[in-house]
Amino acid sequence: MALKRHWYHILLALAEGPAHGVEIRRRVARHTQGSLELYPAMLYGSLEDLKERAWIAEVADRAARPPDASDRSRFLALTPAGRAILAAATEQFGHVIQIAQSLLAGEGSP
Amino acid sequence: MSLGAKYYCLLLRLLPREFREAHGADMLAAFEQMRQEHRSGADPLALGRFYLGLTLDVVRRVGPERERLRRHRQGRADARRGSPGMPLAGGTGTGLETWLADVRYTLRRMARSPGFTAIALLSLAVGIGANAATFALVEPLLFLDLPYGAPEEMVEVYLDIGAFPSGALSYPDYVDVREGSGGVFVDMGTGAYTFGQRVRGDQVQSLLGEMVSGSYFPTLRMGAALGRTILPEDHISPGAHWVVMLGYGYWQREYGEDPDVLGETLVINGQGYTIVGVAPADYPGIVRGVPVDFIVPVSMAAEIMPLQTDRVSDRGDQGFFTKARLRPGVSLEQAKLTLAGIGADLEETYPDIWNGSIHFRLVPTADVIMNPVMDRLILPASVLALALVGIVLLITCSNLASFLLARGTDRRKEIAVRLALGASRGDLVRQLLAETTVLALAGGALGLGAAVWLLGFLTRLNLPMPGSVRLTLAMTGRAYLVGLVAAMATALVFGLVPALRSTRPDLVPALKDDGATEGRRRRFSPRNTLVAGQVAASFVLLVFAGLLVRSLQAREKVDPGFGNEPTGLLTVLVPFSQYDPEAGRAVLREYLDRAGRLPEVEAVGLTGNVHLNTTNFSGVGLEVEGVDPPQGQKAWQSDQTQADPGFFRAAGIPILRGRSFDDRDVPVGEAVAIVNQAFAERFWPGEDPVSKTVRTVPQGRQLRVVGVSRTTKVRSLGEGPRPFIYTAYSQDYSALVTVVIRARGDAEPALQAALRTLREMGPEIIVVESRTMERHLGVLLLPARAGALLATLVAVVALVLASMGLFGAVSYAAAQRSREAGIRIALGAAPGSVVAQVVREGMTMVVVGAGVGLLLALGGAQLFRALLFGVGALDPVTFVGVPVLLLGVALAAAWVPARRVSRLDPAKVLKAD
Repeated sequence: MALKRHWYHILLALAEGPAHGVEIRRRVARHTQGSLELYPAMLYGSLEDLKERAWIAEVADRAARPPDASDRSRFLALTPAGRAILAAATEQFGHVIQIAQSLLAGEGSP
Repeated sequence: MSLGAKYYCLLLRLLPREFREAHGADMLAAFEQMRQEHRSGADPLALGRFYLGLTLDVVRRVGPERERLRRHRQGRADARRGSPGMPLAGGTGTGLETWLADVRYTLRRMARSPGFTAIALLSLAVGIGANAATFALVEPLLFLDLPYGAPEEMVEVYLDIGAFPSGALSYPDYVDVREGSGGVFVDMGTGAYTFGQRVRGDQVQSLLGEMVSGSYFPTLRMGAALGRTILPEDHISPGAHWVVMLGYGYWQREYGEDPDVLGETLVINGQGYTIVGVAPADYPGIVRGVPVDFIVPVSMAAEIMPLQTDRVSDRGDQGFFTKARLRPGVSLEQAKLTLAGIGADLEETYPDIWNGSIHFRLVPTADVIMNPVMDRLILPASVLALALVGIVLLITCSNLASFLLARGTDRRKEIAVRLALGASRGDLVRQLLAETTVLALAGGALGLGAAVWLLGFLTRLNLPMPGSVRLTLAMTGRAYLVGLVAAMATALVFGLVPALRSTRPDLVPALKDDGATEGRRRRFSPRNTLVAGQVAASFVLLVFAGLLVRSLQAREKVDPGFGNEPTGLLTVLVPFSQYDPEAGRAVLREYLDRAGRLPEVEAVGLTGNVHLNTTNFSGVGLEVEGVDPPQGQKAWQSDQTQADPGFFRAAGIPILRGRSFDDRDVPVGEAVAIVNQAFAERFWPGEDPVSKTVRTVPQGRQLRVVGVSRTTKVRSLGEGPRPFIYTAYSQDYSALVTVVIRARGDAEPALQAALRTLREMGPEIIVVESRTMERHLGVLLLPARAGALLATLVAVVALVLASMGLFGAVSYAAAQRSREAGIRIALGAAPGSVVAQVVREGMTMVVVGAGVGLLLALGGAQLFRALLFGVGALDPVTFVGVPVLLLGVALAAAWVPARRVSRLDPAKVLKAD
């Protein structure tokens, strides 16, 4: 499955727990050590895309929101489908990484 | 607000308002946060890159967000109209979700055009229903589910007697084969039909039963559904085993599947049998497909069927259907050799019966449907029936395809827009296929419902069947499957073509709204070809139906030579255990006297076997005075039965010369006979047959001819004059006879009155069967009637479907040509001429189709020739009538929609663009 890179990181950020847009951006920056800059239009557009696919959803239940949340911001959470997509993509990455590691290790030895 | 924030706000205005309203504030907050992060460096170059990034980010998003908005608007608008745009999402969401969306969309579309939907569903229901029902009818004949253990080891043992190459054995034959074939057969069992009467209150049931050897069920390796089967322990001493198995259907019908029947007593023919078991539902019977009500051990033959002859020791009673199981490693050829040896021995021992042409015949059980002789008719008839309804399904499918093609053309613009907007062709094809799938499945469900109803209806009709056979028709698992597969195949094949066609990616003409470019100048567009094909198929079916109807008419016109007045028939068995021939004659004579005096009855008579009885032909070997027997044979064979003095009058058969039987023909006097005219002309042409003599072979009884009767049909309506000889019932006793009751008014009241009299007079006399002559003869006409009815139904359905197809095609053509027609009418053309042109174009397809159909029918009719009766394969009435009917209906179907063209308002049509 070809999953856009920033979609992957948004899903990953939400795996930490429900969050609003700015917090998602912050988490992505932390996860990628600043290498992926999520500009606002990209961020909110992607959030809409992911909502359309029902991979993420707005948290309606107040109890499910984090305690420090204000009422104004929209809180988003991973849906079971989103979690499954994330898991599948992660597995794929894991596979690629394994191959890469074994190749690089082989190159290092004479 | 900072300059940066102001710039960002301006930038956001590029995005759709809805998006801005939803996310603008959050985006501004994110912008502020990012600005804080970037300010820390304060590198002008980095700052510039930041603002460039922000700008590109927004600009890049403009397109996708606008598209999203448009999609949402479209969705909302469609929801308001009740018709959404086609779901565009491809490859997104799960497959199931996409399909559900497709289905929802389809259902909404179907609801929007109820006319189209109704026609499509109806034709599908007819096509699929007809196929499923027909399949359910022929399935048991085509798919041999052998419920036996290791069925590949099993063989059927028949007696080839020349005229009938797969007849049953006599019980002594069976015993001889069983004893002589131990080397090739592990196991062998046999069974014969018997009948039984069961009295329940004031109701008399005539039951059909089997009497089987103790080895029969062990040979089949079949158990019982409940309790046990008949076993070797029930086959030890004659008359000592009062046990019975119920047939599964009888158990269902009469006992409501009560599991506590075991141990109960079933009274048959006035004697009680203990119920020990119920046969399995899939038990095929000694002859496949003939369901029986009960099964008793053959050791009870004399009790269950108290005839004057002992069926178990009578070598002439060839009614035992025999199955055997090959010893492992023994080939069919070895077994055949062994049986040929046994046959040769029998020929030596019983030269009277085993004359030359008789030998045993072995057929693997897996190769037999009912009986090798009947199979030769059953198989082609089944295949033909399936082919007929298959054609109907094809017409249904082509109708559907034709509708879909037309709709596809209508929808080209919509589809082109979607393709232009980036929907993949796969998405659209999938969507269009979803539509046909939903249609086909819904039509299939309707059709299966119709099939269930139709079979139930046919069962309730109580069609005249030979003997006490009861017809139970029901849908089977395989038939449901066939219906489902037919539906899916329809959806796939006939949905895919229009789907691929209408999504063909040449968008420009479609977008230009030039709907008329499609099919205007092409006489042989796919749609027209389909219509022509339908017409051709209807033509063939109509010709076939016409020929069968004409055959039926010819058959119904055949004079059987007897029973033309309203007549009842009462087949009775005078139990030999209680009545010796003298007592039997006395009781029947008294009964005939009483029945003859009934006000409803005109005349009564008695015969051993009514003519045209499909289940019983009895013959006799004869030496004829002054005529040598046929080459290599000892005797002539003639059909024969007994008759009493009243028979000829009651049956309406005139005596042409000499006399009928009368009181002079006493048991001890000179044996007499009456021959029919065909007999007289065959053996004594130009001579007076009265006083000639014949001698029966092998009994050697001399019979003097005292009269000549008019020739009747004996075995079938189609036969030529068939020699027949009647012996005097007074001199040739039979415990099993049929009373012929000629009615004064209707047959049924006379029959009922006669039946009541019999019940009062001799309740121990077993009524084997009671039926009117009409029903008796109806058995013979049943295949012809059923065939004609089925073919006519199929042909009419085909004609209606084809007319619908033509109607659709012409309406469509008329609609497409409305502009041209409008111009012509505006320029002064007579509306009639415009209509004529549209009709002419429609009829061109019809004439082409009819021409093809004529050629096919001319060829096909030659193949059907064997099924025809009394008409030629090129019957002029059919071959003139069918085209007239077809063209008439087609003309109407074309003219009605074409007329619309003349009622166009030219101004309106021209303004429509």
